[in-house]
Amino acid sequence: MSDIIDIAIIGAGPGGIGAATNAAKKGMSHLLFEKREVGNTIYDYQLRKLVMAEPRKLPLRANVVFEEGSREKVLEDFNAAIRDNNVQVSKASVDKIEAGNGFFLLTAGKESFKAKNVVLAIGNMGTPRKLGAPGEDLPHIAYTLADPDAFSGMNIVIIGAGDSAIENALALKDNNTVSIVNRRGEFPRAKDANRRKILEAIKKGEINCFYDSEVKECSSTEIVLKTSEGDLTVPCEHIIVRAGNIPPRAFIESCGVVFPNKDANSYPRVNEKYESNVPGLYIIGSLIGYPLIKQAINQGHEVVEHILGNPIEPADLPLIEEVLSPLKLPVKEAFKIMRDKLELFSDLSTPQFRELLIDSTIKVLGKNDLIFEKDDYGDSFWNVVSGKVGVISPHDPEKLYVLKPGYFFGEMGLISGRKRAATVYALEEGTTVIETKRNQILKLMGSSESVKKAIDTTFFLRILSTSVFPSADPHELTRIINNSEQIQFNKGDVLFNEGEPGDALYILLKGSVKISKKNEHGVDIAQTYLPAGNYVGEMALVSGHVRSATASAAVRCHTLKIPKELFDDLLKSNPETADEVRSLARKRMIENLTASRKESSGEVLNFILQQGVSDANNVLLIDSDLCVGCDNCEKACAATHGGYSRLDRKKGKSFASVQVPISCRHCENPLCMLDCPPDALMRLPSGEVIIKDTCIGCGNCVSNCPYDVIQLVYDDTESSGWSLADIPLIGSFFESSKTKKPKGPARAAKCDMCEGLDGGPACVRSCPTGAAIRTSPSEMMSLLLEKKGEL
Amino acid sequence: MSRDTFLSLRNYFWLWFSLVITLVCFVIYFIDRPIGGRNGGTVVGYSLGVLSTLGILYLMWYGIRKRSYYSKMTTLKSVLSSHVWIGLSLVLIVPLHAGFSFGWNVHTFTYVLMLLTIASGVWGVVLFRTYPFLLSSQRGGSTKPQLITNIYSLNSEIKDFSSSSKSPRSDAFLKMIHSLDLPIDTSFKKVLFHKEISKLDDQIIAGLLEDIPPNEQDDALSCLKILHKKRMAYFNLLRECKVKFILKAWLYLHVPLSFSLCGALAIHICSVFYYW
Repeated sequence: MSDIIDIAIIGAGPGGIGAATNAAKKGMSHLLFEKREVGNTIYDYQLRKLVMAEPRKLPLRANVVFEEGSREKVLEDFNAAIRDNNVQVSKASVDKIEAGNGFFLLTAGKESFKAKNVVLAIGNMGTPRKLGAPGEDLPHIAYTLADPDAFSGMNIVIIGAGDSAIENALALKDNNTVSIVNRRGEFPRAKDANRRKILEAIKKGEINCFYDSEVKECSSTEIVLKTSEGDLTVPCEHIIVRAGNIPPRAFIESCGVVFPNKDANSYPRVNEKYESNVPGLYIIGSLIGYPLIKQAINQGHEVVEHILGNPIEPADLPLIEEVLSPLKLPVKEAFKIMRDKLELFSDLSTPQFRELLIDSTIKVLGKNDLIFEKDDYGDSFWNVVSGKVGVISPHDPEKLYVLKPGYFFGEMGLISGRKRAATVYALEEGTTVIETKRNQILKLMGSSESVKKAIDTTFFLRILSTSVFPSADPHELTRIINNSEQIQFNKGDVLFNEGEPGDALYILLKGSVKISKKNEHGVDIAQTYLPAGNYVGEMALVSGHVRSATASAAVRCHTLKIPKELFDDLLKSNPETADEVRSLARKRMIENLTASRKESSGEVLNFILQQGVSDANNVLLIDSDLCVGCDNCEKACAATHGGYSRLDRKKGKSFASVQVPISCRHCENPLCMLDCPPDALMRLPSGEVIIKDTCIGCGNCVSNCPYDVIQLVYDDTESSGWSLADIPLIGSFFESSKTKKPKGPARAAKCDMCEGLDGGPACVRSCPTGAAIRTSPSEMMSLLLEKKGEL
Repeated sequence: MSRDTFLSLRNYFWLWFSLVITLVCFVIYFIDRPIGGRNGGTVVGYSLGVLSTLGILYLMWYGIRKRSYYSKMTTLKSVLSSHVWIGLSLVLIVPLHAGFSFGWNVHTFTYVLMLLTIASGVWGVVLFRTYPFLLSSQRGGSTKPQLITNIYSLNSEIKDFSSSSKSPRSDAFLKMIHSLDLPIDTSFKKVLFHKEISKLDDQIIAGLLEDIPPNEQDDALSCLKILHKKRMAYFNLLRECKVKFILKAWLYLHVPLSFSLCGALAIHICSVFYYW
């Protein structure tokens, strides 16, 4: 094709369809490229999954019908929009985009296309990694499994060793002969629960596993594997490749687009017209941080208007108006004020700033109005727009820090996920603050280097200036922070060992650190643990002695490592600060000596740390000395939560006859919240982590939770027949032979501490012997010590 | 943290409550000197009868309360506490109602049924207070599924010893495995009537190792250790199942008895009014 088309749209997802339908309607010459299916991400959902239309308030402006409904209905609407608007679709796979003289040259295999404008709407799921062996394009090779029930009596080979490969294998094993091809000798990437299940299934012979094996070639009936013992031919009628995805970043960078930083979560920068740094190359949808379908469709629609040069107000205008309404000013003026006052966000592009506003609330306060109190739970982030805000020092209630417009606060709770570190209130009448949701800020920190740096630096600065160097010059401290390195530690990694010379001080951003010492037999005994917001390792620096204890990561930790040289420099140049630091360090040393623990309490602490309870806000325990196994706790939970128990009494480790059953601990730093597209996971002010009704059932939280406490549940289940287990009383002697088949949309479910139910959690209230208790980690510690006869 | 049991809850509140009620009943009973002697037909007799009936209805309500998962009214633990102590007090209050007159009739039959129900309840209380501790102490901190997984893995280790070695095992080795490896049987009969599995003492071990060729001695010792572990794990599992069964089984006595009691009580009340 030698003609130059007006607009090439890559990716027929919601964004691409929004753009293509508008381009077609406006009579532009266009081509929509999609190498797989229309709405591919939704296409890959499991059958009949409910697709949500969030945010509800956002109007849809496009030639596409999109409303909440099943996967099938949404896909049909998408295809209808393409059909009805006469959108030109190409199945070619574009693998290169080059900017030329007034047009872009798109290469797709041997074909090439020319376009004046390119809209990238390929999403951030990436492309599934292919088989990488002859036969990889055969039609019986799939990359997903939408409906396990569609297969029976087949020989199925699954390639990969991650969670999705394992889950597919387990879902198919009952009705098929399933083999799994693993490049390694074990399943290191899988979640513990999945690893256990797959190893058990392999052991029982329900699934064949080819370890240390790769695919050599495949045909429609067989697959040849390269194993450590030579080539092996396995019959197979269906292949599922689950070898992970290739992230789209490399492709986008090859088009000349610049990312703000190396962070894997960062998004390419675009202007308010969605245009990237490459003129004529536009990027929309989840690639620039807008994961919701409706947003992407709107952006697709708008981008075409921008290309045509038509002025168009963004679709989110009514939402912005609502957010700015407390300022009681015309929206344009109010928007400008916000843009000027919020210095932290001055580097953001206009779409990013609008997105930030939509996820924020503006509050106009009276004098002495409380914003939040120390030890409240909260992870939102605050900026001062006008007036003055007072922060009461957490160490000295007499001391007050004053924050002026442009300053921000709440970063401690945001970063560490812990309780609020200080009480904050308005100092003046009419003080205006803006509160932004956690996910929005985290997203911005991922996409804007300046926001991330400002927030991180302030976080460290506030810890250093309140706890370690109370009277040091903030500029001096900032210099130290800027010259120090941020280091991550995985669970169990050692920060420093007992007996080593002290080389650095660590500030904990996230996670918690275990401090342990060796006893006379050389066994490591846990002494204590320090949560995020604390610092470790200053004693050896101050005293010049070797490390008196070992510090290791109790859970995954983020730290700032301040090298000894910088620390010493600061002390040398500020003799006053030096004295203060020494006396603080000495105080901590004395505290440590007097709190020196017995070995058995070390064991108890070890158990608590191993179970990850140190990071918990509230944990369910079963006292095995009291539990009669009546299961009333599970029954109560199921009865009060739509038929599904959110706790599993029979599972979970125990120590000193106290069991930690599978149930949500409402972590201080909830990993489940990390990656929730509709932002449905939230923490209540009282500390509980709950899942809101906006959950779309994507399962991200289920796989992110390290404690297996989240499950997918279904509103409807289809149960078949009647069984002996249905008889009251006698029934409990029989296993239910009923098969519950999930029907309808899935939702994530976990313990919500019976939020909204007076009297506390139903499981605890329904325990006839008082064996079930919900308690804090420190009370758990005293209970365990009591059981061990230490208290 | 309150570590009260359901018996000692709030400094034995329900024990004291029941004791006081019983005592008051005794005092009233002995103060009252009705014409024709003390019996169920006097004012005090009737009153005590009504009180006892209310008591029994309260005890029966436990079954409903246990399943009222939305109930905000205290905890099930404190309801159980009152259930136990009020139940026990009825042993004394009901004879007061009858003026200690017993005979071969439906009235005494109702009382006997009540005693049986309470006796089964007492058995339940004893089980609730002793068996969980028994369970948790014997399985050393592992739950039942963990015990089963453990047996599975021990089983496959034993299998590896007997089959996967490059040279075939001697007959004596296989015989040793055969004589010690117990088939896993968790049938109802086995669980209820199992005997203690003997520990392997030095003498038995020496006897077993005697016939095994020298090149297999090391393997045999390791195998013996695993066999021993499996036997103990299996025994623990059987005990666990038995304890769990008994913990549930008593209810199959207690609940039917209490319903029969209600039936008998209804007949008792009807017949009393019928012959009035």
